Amino acid sequence: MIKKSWSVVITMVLCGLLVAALFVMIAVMPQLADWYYFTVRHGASGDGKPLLVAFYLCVPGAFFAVYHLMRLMHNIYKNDVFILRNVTHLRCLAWSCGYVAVVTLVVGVVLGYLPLLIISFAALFFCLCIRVIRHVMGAAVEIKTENELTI
Amino acid sequence: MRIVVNLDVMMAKRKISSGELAKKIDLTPANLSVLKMGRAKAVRFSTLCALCEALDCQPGDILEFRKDEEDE
Repeated sequence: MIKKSWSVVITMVLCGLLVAALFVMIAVMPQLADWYYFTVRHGASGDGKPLLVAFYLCVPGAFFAVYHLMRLMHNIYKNDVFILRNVTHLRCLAWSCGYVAVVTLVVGVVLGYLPLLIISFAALFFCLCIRVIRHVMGAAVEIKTENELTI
Repeated sequence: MRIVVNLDVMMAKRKISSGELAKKIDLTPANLSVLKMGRAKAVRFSTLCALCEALDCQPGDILEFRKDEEDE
């Protein structure tokens, strides 16, 4: 069985890799979008611009989410699990998922591009899951505080 | 409406220090301070029992129910 601290470290390393992947994607996305439209969808070069706009609009949300995820994992690593700050981090994660859902939904509807609508649905689903976890965490923090103040 | 903890009053009446009382009832000084300052959310019956025994008093001597002015 993997030790708890190792699991947290692995998650933090994966977050770091995600940040690196984001930077790479930011750099190569224009070429990637062009290649996709030109070879896969057989369109003219430059057709991928709306997709690029959607991607670059989503990037701040992604960085925001990764930052809060890393802060959350850092707190868990320090054994500060049921604290109000973690509830705030989860709330920010949910908001960033919601933001990505809205951006991809708008661009997906405007372009009539199904994969973006699927991404939007996935982001919305994640947002909902994180909100549920946030509520559970909030209740746990409240119970912990009450328990600590029971003499 | 709130419950007021009059532990400091009873301790003064019995002339007992916080450290001494904490030792007597097997409570940490920090927890006793939380109780004394009225920051506690709940009191266990076992703690109340120990307090009453150590201070030779009734629960009503330590805890008091007070109505807020707005409720009246």
